[in-house]
Amino acid sequence: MVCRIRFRKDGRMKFLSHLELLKAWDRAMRREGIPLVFSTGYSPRPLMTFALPSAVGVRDMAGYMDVHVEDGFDPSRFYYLTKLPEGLEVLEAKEVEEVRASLMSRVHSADYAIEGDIEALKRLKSTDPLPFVRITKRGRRHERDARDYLLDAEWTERVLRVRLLAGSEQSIRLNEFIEALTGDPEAHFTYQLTRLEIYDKEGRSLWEP
Amino acid sequence: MKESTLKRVRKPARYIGGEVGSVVKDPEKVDVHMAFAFPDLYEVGMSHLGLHLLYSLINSHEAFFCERVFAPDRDLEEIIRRGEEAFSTLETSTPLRDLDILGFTLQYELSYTNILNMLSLAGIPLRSSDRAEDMPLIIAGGPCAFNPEPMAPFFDLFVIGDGEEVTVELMKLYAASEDKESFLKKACQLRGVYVPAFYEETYEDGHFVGHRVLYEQAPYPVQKALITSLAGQDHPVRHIVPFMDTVHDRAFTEIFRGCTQGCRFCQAGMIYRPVRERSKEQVLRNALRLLDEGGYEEVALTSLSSLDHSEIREIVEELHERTKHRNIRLSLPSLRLDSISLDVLRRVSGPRRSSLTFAPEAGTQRMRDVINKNVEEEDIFSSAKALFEEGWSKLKLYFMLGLPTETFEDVKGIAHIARELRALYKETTGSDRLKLSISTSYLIPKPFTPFQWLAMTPKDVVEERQQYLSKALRSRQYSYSYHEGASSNLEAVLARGSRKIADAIERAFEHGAVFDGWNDYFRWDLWLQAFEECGIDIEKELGERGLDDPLPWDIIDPGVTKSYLKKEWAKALEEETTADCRGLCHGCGINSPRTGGICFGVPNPL
Repeated sequence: MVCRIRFRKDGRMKFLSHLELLKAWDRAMRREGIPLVFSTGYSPRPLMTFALPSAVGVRDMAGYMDVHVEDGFDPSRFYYLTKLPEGLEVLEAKEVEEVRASLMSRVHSADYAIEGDIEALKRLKSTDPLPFVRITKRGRRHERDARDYLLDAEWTERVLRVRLLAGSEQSIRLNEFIEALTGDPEAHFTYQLTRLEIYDKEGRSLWEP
Repeated sequence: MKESTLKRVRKPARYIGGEVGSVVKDPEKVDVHMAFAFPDLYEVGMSHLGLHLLYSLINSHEAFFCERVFAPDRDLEEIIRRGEEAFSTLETSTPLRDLDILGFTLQYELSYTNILNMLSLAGIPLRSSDRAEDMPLIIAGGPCAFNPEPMAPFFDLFVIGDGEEVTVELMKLYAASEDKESFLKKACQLRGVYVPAFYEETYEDGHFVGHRVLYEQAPYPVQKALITSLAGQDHPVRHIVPFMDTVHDRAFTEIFRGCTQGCRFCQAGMIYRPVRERSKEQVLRNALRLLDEGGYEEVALTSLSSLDHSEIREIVEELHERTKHRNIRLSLPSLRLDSISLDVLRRVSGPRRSSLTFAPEAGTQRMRDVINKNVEEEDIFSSAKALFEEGWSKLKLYFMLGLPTETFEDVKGIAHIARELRALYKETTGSDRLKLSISTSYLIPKPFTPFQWLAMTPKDVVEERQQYLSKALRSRQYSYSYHEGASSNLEAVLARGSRKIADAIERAFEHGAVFDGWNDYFRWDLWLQAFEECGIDIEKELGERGLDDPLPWDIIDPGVTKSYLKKEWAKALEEETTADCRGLCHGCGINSPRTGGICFGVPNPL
């Protein structure tokens, strides 16, 4: 059976790379004695898939993971894990049907909170284009407009909340977005960044079935 | 560390701490606050068993707190040098100069400049004579401490040999001492403790002639610390489980200490004598606990020659039986190409590695006899055939070049083995898809080995042999790699040096030498400049030592006697082997009342 977990990644855990996070979960599950199901072959690995890696340095309130466990397992046990490293926490857990569409393929957009000197981001309020340069793996430079990736923005006193495209077809990284607004490729270091939620094409949270 | 720093540096997981198994105490509430310092990057240091062992042991005492610190990568180093971040411990971010004790491990000579770099980043004067009373005590241990002299001026004391018991004694003594000097005077009475300030080297016409004892209570020579049994020794009871990929990212448990093979090039095989085994029950208990508490997917049964454990088959079989439902991989470092290895390998039918590594060390039987590497050619090929039949198609083989009496025939022997293996693979499997990695390193004559007096084979001679192998092994089936001559020569100079070398180490560091073990960073030119400025003749340092010359490391007594090493050297020249001493004692000296050593409860034959 497959269990879907929504988790928080905070504190020092936000400095893990995606592969490090994967390993942290693998080892935490083994420490807890969760009856994992493994892939076949010479080097069996636990079957775990994630929706969308969050960047190093970004807090995450919307970590999604599907994990295969032996049939008959009670998903509520995930609420009582005691051997997780500090900064990882299971927020919700449930059994899901083994669907063909993977978690990752459902990802369309994500909400982020940008906390800090949001005055410096006010270019967003104009209608000017917000150009940034993306260098492809082959070294080609492409000029893009960050506005093309922006679905929604909401301002409060200290927080800018944005919904950005995040799917496999079109996506923008948070550091690119902040660079487009400030002109400074290092500006993102100065903000507290949090991913709040991930949505599918219909605008439903990934937690919805 | 500041968030803004962690966001800027490469691989921040190195610096966050908070791993499962790490320990945090209130430094105000302990008697002794120390840090275990590993002079290389986190991913290297965390793969080192001794770190986990001492960390677990020291922190099991309520009155002591041991943290960790590793060499920062170059990007973080710059941030520290700019004053934006203090160089501090991983667990509580304590600046290093506020610690009571900072203990470095000396695992390889090419990390020496990193030690100076770490002290400098911490704002601690490099030389013990320049450090005030309020500075932490700077100590060291590990295999390179068996010739402590090149690093002697930088340390207040060295622990020689098994660290478990003496480290705890030292910390108790430290807690009870008034000041550094009275502490050091008492500490040097503990077996295994060397306080360099209590000795000086003497020279005649620029030649090292021995040590003078400056404090009459200080022992000469300093006997290594030795724990006679590992029966009650279960540390590390847990590992610190890293988040990032480390060099050896797995649980590891030591199944025995010491080695009876007697390879003549191997320093570890001499200095860690005698063999002390953990029982099957103890090994299983430790391995299973480390797996359970760490959540690891792999466990290594470590030692210098794991297949020599008297119950290795039973251990492997039972461990496999008890972990197979969890898909745990077992690994055995130091496999040999012989029938025992195969037999044990077959019992490990769980998840496996794609390639196997072996170290025949030399290309001909004659050469292997000289170095006392007891592997027969017949064994190599028959074992390889069996491996191929069982589906293995990737092998890694390690050899050495520059061995004593080595000729071109011996080098050709390496290529011969490679070609034979390829033909054998074709014959066995009908396919030509064997992947064979061959690598060669330089023989480095190390203190306390039968080769300790030897001249280092000149770089150009070895390079010619490397070039021959490069050509001979030019094919898709082979990949050939080799160690660089310059860094190997440096390793040799640092390994056998006297205190005079310390000046050059410091000078090289001042010129910018750091991470000398990393090819990307190694700068031989800086070292050449430093040696020249300090009046050190490298050729002489690399040259032969007379059998009766006083040696800088005579100050240490590892238990194995010099007369035994001489005897082994004479046998090497006669191409005569010395059998594994589990069958028959060859009188190396460790099994005597003088050292308190006991081999398998065999009484001293002399």
